[in-house]
Amino acid sequence: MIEFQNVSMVYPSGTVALRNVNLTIEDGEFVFIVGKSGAGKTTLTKLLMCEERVSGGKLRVGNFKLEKLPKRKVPYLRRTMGVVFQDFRLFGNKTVYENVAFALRVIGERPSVIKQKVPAFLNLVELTDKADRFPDELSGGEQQRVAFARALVNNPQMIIADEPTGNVDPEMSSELMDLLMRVNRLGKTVIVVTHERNLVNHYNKRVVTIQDGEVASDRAGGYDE
Amino acid sequence: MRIIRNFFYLIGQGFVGVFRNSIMSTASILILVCCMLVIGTFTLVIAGVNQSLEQVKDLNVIMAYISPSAGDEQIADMQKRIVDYSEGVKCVFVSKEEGLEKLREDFGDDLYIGAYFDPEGSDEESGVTHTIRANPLPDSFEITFENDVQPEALNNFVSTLKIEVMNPNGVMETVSGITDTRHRIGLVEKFSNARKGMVVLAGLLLAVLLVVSLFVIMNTVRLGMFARRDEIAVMQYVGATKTFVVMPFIVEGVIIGLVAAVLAFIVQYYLYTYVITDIALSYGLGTLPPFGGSAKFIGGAFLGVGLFAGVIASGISVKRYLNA
Ligand SMILES: Nc1ncnc2c1ncn2[C@@H]1O[C@H](COP(=O)(O)OP(=O)(O)OP(=O)(O)O)[C@@H](O)[C@H]1O
Ligand SMILES: [Mg+2]
Repeated sequence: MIEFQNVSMVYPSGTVALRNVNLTIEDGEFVFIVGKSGAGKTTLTKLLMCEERVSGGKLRVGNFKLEKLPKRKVPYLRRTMGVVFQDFRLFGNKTVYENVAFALRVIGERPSVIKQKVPAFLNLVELTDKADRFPDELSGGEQQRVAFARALVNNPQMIIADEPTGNVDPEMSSELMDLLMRVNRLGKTVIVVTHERNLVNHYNKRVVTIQDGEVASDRAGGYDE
Repeated sequence: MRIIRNFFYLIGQGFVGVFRNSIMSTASILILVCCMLVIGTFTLVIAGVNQSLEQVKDLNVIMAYISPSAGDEQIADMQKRIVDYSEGVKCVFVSKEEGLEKLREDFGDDLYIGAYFDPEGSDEESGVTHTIRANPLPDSFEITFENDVQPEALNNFVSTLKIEVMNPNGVMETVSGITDTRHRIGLVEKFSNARKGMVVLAGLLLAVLLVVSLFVIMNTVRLGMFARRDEIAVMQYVGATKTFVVMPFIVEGVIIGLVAAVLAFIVQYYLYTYVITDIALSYGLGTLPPFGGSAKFIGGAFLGVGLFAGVIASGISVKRYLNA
């Protein structure tokens, strides 16, 4: 479970990115986070992965109390979540296979497990035949699927995706979104930040709208402004 | 198992880092090698000089030449006074005959003194005839002393010893009992001054070079981290611990240090055996001992310096980067 209690976040520059956010996301939920540019959506995801710290209030992610999580425990929080970004953030000098395997190497997984899991997840994102390619030899959508495979391979309880479809064409967007839906059906919590209104409206899921750092609306179904 | 797996992975990553960053790595290694060679050369030379100092056994000796006017009684009296001067002072009387004999032993055939011995005054081999000459050497004292005796003061005391003798007019008068002294007190000082100078110089050079090599390695590692900042960020997103992120860079520093140590050891061997030993000889520092005797120490010191510089420098860089 994820629970924001009166969370505020002020950047060192003085920008108030979030104020008084109250939000609860149950395990296994699928949530769209929407809002205008600069509303504070990315900041919200950064708080979840403890890349930024809350300036006030309480934030719980699973068993982690993020407002007082020691720095050295942050890696263990991150292992419970798979993160995906608009710009993919793959290793340009590693093959597709190695990019996915890396997430397992980092946690010291056994080679035999790596050999078995990586192909399985490449198969899930339909990239088996591109395993030995490098990221810059792939289309945007393919790169993002590699990022998905890497985010999923650790078997995290939740996936956090910040505008995952921002750099891919509309067709690929719905494919990626379908993938996230499938992941959600496996019981994982999925949080997707996006600008794409028609996508959001198409899926009829919970939509949280952020506006000027505050939760402006929180309801199931589509969104309108 | 997990730890061992990670260990090998991280070591491998360290090597990857060294090669990825090969120009800077090479620069770091070279500067460290220079640093180690300075340490090594000075250590070896200082050790060598020390050893030759110890081998020169006659340094704590004063030869005092006895005035010809001194009789047996006065000689015995002076000898007693010298021995009583201080604990640790020994004094042996060397007659002029013994002195000549000793001279011949010391110099052998290098010095022709046969004429003083050969009653016929001829040298069979060369066929040259010499007149027998009077032994030119005076009687003397060979005074040896322990290290805790102040050599200058003792020398002063000995050379100003006075004796009472009857002058030709039958009047007793006080004259110098010792005409002259010979010693190598200054030599000891010269040696130890040279040694002190070398230690100071070595220390200064070492400090400068160590600081320079720390900076160069720090920079190497920092550049490496900067070049891989995206990679580091992703590592952190997928839950890599700090140790996992920084170890490759620390290993990189350690590899640089180790490679430098091995290279420096090899270069030091050739430098010492074929260059420094010759130079030391021509500067009158004596024959330096062979490299083998100091090899363990030098090797250990190089490894120590290499590891220290590698770990400290990369540690500082890594810490700075992650806290930035
Ligand atoms: N590192 C930062 N330092 C200072 N201010 C920041 C930083 N990152 C974001 N901000 C500010 O915080 C506010 C919220 O930014 P945030 O990135 O969360 O918006 P967003 O909703 O993700 O926007 P977009 O849709 O454009 O990605 C903005 O006013 C932004 O300028
Ligand atoms: Mg954003």
